[in-house]
Amino acid sequence: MLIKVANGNIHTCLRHTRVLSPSLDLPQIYKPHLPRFQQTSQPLRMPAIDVGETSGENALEHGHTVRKSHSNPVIPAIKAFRAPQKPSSWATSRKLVQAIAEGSPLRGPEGRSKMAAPMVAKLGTLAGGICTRWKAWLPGLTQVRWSRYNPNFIEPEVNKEVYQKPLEQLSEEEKTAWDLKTVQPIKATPANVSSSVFYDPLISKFTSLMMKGGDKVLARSLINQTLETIKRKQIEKYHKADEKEKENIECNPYTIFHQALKNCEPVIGLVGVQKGGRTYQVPTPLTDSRRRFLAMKWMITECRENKHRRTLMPEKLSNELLEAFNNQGAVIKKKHELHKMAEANRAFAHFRWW
Amino acid sequence: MVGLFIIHGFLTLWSALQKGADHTEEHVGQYYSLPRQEVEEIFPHGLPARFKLQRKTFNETCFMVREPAIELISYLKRTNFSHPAVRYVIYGEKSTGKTMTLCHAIHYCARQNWFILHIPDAHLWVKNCKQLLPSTYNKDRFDQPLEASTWLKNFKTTNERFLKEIKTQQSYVWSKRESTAEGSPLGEVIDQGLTRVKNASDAVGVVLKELKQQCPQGTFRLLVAVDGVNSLWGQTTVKKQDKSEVAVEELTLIHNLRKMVANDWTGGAIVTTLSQTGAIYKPRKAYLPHELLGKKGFDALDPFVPIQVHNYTDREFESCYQYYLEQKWLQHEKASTNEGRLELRFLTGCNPGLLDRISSHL
Repeated sequence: MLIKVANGNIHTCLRHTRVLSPSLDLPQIYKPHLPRFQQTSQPLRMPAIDVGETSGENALEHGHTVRKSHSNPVIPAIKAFRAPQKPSSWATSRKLVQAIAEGSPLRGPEGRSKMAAPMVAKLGTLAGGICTRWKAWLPGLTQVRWSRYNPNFIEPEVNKEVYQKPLEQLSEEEKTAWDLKTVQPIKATPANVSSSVFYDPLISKFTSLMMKGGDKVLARSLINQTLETIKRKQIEKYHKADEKEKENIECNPYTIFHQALKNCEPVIGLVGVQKGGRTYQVPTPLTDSRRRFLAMKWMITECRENKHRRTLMPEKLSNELLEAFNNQGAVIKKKHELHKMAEANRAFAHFRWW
Repeated sequence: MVGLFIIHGFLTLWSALQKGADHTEEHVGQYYSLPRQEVEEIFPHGLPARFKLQRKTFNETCFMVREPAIELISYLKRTNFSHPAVRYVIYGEKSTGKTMTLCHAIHYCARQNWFILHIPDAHLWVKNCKQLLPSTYNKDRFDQPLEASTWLKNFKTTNERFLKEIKTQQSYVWSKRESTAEGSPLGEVIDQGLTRVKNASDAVGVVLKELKQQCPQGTFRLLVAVDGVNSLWGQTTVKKQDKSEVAVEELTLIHNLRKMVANDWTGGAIVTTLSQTGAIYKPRKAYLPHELLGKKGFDALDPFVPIQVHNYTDREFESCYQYYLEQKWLQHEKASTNEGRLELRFLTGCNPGLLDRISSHL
């Protein structure tokens, strides 16, 4: 889908971004299963403070139908504890973008006066949110995955220590959160999260990236062998070293893993921006998640492609991780090259408008 | 010399094994370390692969004293050398420590100056055979030169001092120009087998025959240690030229070994281990003697003394856990906490092999 922006440039949006509102545009059969006492009018609402009118059921937003809640005594309590509304309301953003595509100017007093009164009130908030919404149409910068969960759903608590705390030691906040859990629904825990004492989210992410064909067992065993190899090498080095050097040798494979990936994370990235028929590599900041992803991706690609065919993955990975821990090796070099490219292209930095 | 370390309320006692020192029930769960010279001499082959890696990483060899080993050693101490050799069969579920028990017994006997005849893994002789030659001695049988020569080399390392003393009691003719005269030391037979690899299997047969004949005379005590004895009566995956399978009896090495494991000689003991891990066409969960040996094997080994090896007891588990912590093997920051210990116990079910594998990546 192509969108024509106000300054005349055409941007390709992500084809796989599905702008759907959970309750409106879908036919009845596709509605996610919700507990009986929950109604779905909430996610489409703008934050109550910004809307000049009542946040009751009578407000009509762009033709949204508001479903009347059943007479359930629990409902008022739920409304009070409603999770804060996210500004990215998909239906409103879709309408906005359509308005943009039609060429109607949004910004400025003329645009505002032409719009309906409720729309004007919302524009104040939308103006701040416009940038975040436009980001959704730009590749690789903002979150494209959206959750099918109603925002009322709470994140699951996997940490065992939280449940072992006796009631007296909980603070007020924790007590309210605890009471909330008795009424509000909780999201299902993803399969790769565990309550084990030895669970590490970064390792879990890395195994998912390394996995091929859904074979998580194999990926996990490779990671375990890698950690074992790193540990063996370091312990052997430790036993051979002098007394003074022994303190400096790090034997914990997990610290080595974390530090190595941290050393591989780039600080600045490059994004292709089309201007005048030519694509320029524009330096741009990267989010933490993007950096982690790039570090892991580079590590895995490097080990898969640039090594000898017959060496096994644990051996290759352990060598690369140990080198990256010491700020050496091919992945660190790749990171430095990216930094140099960004530095070289810094003249194009003003092409960035986000 | 005895060193005491008290950690978390548990006592980990490391004692240097003196000559003829005994390990009794008090020492169960404790580790004793072996000097490197001895290990290279007694165990050129025979230690489990994961233990070899651990030995390389920790820079030391430490055995844990466990109950089945103590029981076996106490029987070996009380052997009556005028009676026929008693057969001991160590069995148990997977990775419970059968091979390590065998190695402990071998180490004890080596310290007592017994002659050690150690076959590290009989399963390796019945599968993955790269070279199969028809036997020169007997037309029906087949030779395995590679396996025989590797075994002879390791056997020589273990028993160097005995090989000059034991003399052959008859002459052996290897080919038109080569023969070993009567009364020559056994070392010559072994050298013959190593230089002429074609005759290696026959050299092995000669060695076994000589030892069996001379042991009743009482000049030395013989310990026959076979790991994976159930392969002697199982099936092979070795194929002849015409792709038909070779029966186990048709392999020279196995044929001679079966004679060795029979209890018709005196002056020593036979310690064997049953193992499913390398066994061919045996279900994974099988560990009992009947299941692994089959009818023929059971009848051949009957009567024997069964020794079962179990998972770690609580005390042994704690000892192993402390040992890994002291050797810096458990590096995860949560592994040294109480929750980590309980989780390890749950994950491994106190199985020694699993504990080793899981703590490798922690």
